[in-house]
Amino acid sequence: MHRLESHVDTASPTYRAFREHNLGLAAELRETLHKARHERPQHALDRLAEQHKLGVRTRIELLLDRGSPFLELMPLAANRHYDGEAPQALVVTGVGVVSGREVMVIANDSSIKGGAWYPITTRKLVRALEIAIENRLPVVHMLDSGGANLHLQDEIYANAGHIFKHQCHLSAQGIPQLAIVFGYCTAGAAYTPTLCDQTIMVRERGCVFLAGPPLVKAATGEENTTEELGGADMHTSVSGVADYAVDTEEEALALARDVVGVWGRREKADSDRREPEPPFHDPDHLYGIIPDDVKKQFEMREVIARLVDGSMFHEFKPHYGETMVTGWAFIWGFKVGILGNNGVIFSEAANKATTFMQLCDRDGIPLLFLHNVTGFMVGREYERRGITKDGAKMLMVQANVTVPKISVLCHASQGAGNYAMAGRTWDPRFVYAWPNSRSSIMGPSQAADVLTNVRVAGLRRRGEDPSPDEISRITAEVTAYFEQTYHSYYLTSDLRDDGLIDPLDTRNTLGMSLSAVLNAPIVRRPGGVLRI
Amino acid sequence: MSGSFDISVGAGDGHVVDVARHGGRATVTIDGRHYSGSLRPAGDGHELTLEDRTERMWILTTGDTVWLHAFGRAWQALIVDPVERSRATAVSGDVATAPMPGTVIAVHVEPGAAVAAGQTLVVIESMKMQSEIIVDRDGVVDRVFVAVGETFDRGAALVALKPLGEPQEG
Repeated sequence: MHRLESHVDTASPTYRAFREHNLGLAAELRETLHKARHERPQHALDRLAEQHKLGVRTRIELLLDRGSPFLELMPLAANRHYDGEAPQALVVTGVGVVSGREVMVIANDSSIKGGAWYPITTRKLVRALEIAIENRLPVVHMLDSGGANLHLQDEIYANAGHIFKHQCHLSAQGIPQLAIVFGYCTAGAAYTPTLCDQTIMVRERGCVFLAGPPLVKAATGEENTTEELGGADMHTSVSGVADYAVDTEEEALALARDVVGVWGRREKADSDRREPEPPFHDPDHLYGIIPDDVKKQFEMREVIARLVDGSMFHEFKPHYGETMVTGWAFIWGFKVGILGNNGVIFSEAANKATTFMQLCDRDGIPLLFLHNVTGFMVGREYERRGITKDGAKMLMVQANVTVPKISVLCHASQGAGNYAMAGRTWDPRFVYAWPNSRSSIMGPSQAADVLTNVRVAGLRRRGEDPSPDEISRITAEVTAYFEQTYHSYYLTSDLRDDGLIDPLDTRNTLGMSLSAVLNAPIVRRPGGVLRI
Repeated sequence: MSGSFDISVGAGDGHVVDVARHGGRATVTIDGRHYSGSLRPAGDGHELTLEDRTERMWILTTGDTVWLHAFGRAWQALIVDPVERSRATAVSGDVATAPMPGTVIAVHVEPGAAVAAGQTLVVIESMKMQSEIIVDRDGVVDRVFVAVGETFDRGAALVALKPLGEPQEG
């Protein structure tokens, strides 16, 4: 491995313009995150205080080992949905350290709407549990939710079953789960604590039942208090639905730390490690490297040099298929195989990527995909040389490698290029996006051309002749739709990634992610590597 | 480690160094001359034996630079990456060509202009991506083959510099 050379000119006007632009994006991200995490109406905070409840952030703080990092996942879920009335989709998810052990934390936020589930809440819960299964992370469920938002039941019901099924599969795979019941777990939600190995309930506030007192009264005429019907003492001394009853939330969290401590720690998967070392080249330069327009190119090696230990990189096939940068490096001491785009994917670049993935898969090295791709090269020359065939090989191998994959959308991630680079739908273990990134089936202006032509042709077939104004209105409409739906904030709100991250946080995010993925064994598949 | 390295010590010229290990000992070949020696950990450093001399030695590696303290002084050795070396010595052409088919977005130079390595000649757009065509050596622009808005095929000539060896004035 050798230290990557940097050719960034920090005095150039371009660098300074990019830097200003990206610092703006980073500030906007920090502000948006702060708002989603912490800003709640005063009446919501008063209500929590009346109920003697801690806020969800305080609960998480008390659960985690003091001073340990928390890798929050999907923090801007639902941020651009439901008129912004469900910040974070009213649930906090992330990987944290409890009693020295990495766990998935899933914690309802009942400060708004009683922590009700929205459709995106359901999908966020399902995704968090998928991450737990794939990476063999024990789960601590912190439950406090009024249940499904019945006005949106259709979309919620379409996904909610996965939550409980995933809990069953976690159990069967020997991955422990603990529930702390801080508030309501009604109807379907009653199964979450009950499917856990162990459950802690807080007296007077935590309750678990299939139907609450009003519904029971309506159904059978029976009258009950909440505590009688599903309170902590009843469940821990009569029904056996839960295991521990405590008086306060603080006690519940202290006990939870104890329970997780008893689980102990597992050996991590065998992988090449080194003593971690910060990058030689200053990661702060990333702000001046990433362009201010998704159409503008940049040198991916400059990014790699600011993510990897010591800026040390061993590049594979440096003179071949140059729009794909492939090679090995260490991040926080964990060895990774990196694939980064340096432009559109040509046949040679696709083939190089395919061989490289096979090499890493054979050797048990996790893969990191750094996206800046607008797709595979089009045109007669490339079709004749079988660009689709080479793309298909890349997809085939990428989909079927067994080593963990992690993706970062650094800039553009469009069309089949996103697929080939292990975009969201190809199930990488984690996928993150930078705020400047954009992802869609094609670029807005290309889509606007195509769709405008189709609509104009349709109008003409019906004998109408659209005026130039009409045509530009159609173009503007299509462009606006694309601009909205390919935006990083929209995509993260819809859970198309596991979180928007400040480029400067990428190294730490990747370090924690690599540490998490190694909780699952790496299964090496014997087989020869094809030089294609 | 064994194999051939290109190593420069201090500001001196590069040396070709080859290390062949056999058991606890090694044969070190420096610029064709063989030395027999061994290196083993001792205290917080190492003990180097080369032929009949034994010296205490401390080694610190940062990136491609190795710092050594031995024989009563400090040495700095730089390992040269063969790929970087071949890049650095690559012959630059006189004509900048299109890496892929596309459209010209901007032309930043005109014939007769003096350019410095690293300067942008033209900006092209292809497949929704804009890339800058950068000149890889100092020189003077001879011809510009494209104008803004024009399309071109892969390999098309975009800008030519006056060949080196010709008078370089405008």
